[in-house]
Amino acid sequence: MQHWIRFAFGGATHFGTLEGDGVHEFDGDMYLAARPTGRVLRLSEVELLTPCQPSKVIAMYNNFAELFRKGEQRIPAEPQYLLKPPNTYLGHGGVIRKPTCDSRIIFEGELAIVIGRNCKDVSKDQALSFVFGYTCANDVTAADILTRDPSFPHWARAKGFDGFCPFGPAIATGLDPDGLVVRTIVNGSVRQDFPVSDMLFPVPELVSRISRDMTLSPGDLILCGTSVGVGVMKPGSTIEVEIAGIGKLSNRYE
Amino acid sequence: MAMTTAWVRFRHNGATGFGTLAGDRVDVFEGDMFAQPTATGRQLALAGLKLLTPTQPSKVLALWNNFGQLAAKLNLARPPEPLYFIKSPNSYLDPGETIRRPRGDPKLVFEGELGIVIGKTTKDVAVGQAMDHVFGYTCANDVTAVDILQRDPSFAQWVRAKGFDTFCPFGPAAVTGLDPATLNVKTLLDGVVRQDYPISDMRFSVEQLVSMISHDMTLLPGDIILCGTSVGVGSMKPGSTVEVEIGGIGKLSNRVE
Repeated sequence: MQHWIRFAFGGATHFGTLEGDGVHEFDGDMYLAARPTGRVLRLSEVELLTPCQPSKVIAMYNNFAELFRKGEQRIPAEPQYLLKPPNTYLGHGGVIRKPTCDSRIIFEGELAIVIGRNCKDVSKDQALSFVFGYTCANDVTAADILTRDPSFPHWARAKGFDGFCPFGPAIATGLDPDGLVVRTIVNGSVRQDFPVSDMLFPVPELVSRISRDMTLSPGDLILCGTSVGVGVMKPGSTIEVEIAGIGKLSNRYE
Repeated sequence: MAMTTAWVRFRHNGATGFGTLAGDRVDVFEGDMFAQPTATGRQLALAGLKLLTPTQPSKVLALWNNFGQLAAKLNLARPPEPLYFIKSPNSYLDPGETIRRPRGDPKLVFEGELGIVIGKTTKDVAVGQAMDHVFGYTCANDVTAVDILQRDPSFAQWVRAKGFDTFCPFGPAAVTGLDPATLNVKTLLDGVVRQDYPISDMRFSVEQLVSMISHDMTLLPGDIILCGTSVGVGSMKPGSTVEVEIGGIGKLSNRVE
């Protein structure tokens, strides 16, 4: 198991692995063949960036059985997904800025799958071999924007404001996603605590089915969806998405 | 008539380049197309080049319900703000390349559109400043698998239905110096005109779109806003050729398989 990060140091961008407080710099291609440069820095010396630069971030809508337990909605036959555009990407420690629109802003803690190889039409059995690792994400959403116009669900805008997709702090490789638990903590108080095993479409299904529609590239993310416990973020809050085995993504909302 | 310049991106001898197109030749430039590129003095024959999408956008946004004529036909009220969705990056397709039907052979429709090409980093710009941030215009086809859009009654699949690989051809050039209010969008299927509508019928003008959207999202040079489509949308079958033609820009042509 390794924890890959991207960071800024000395006016340039680098990547490497994080071991405790030590940043081991690598060069080459993180997804294919990377070699240590031999340089080791301290975490406090570097600025953490998003751990990868996705060409696209696909975000699942309703993908947790817990959301359907009341029986009011029909379980979807196919994965229901949206996109988070690149202007939303934000690293661990970055500030989520309150947009000028008039809406409640909510947090949605999620597990994110990081794709490692170009994949198209991959089978469920092959799917995990195309996954590089996993990271934490917050699918921040302007809830009231979504249904403001009754004829059109404005997903792109509601989920697409600048900074609305923090992810990180690192990409963990060598993990089994089934045992993971997602916790969202707001100002020190646990608001979400749900198991990844409750997903309607587990990781291999998501990667396989989505790859039938779209070619996925190394660095692309699939946010697996959120479960119960989403809530409003107030300016001045600290929101953390913690997944044991990956780490804790922390951002302020202002 | 104002001086227009058609900027193209191309592949030549295995390398990617860009320049200005005049007739059947391209004057090759270097540097950053959006920030004072320099002329190299080299010229290449268009016939020897593979044209690519004129920019590599970080994102392509596309408008819904932005034309009065189509809204009237569908009985839709004028929205108070632009309604838009995102065309996924895997859908971008070069001029001349083939639109491929996804598995399951869903019905595909063409939607000929004007694409606004952003030229500067744009955030929170007033309507009066918006045009300064526009680089130029291009042609686009917002290809859609209509059956998939409404297949799930609890969730309209905008991203999926419009985001399959090859579903966003755009090009052939990004043209500067045009007045968008005078433009007309034509879509031809196998040589027959199926759409022919004026940009002046847009509910939100170019400057309004750029200004309002920039209050939500930072727009970057190369990003594209597709203005939406109007009446005449129809289905495309395998073996067809679909062309989106905008006088002053050129003709975007793609086959469907």
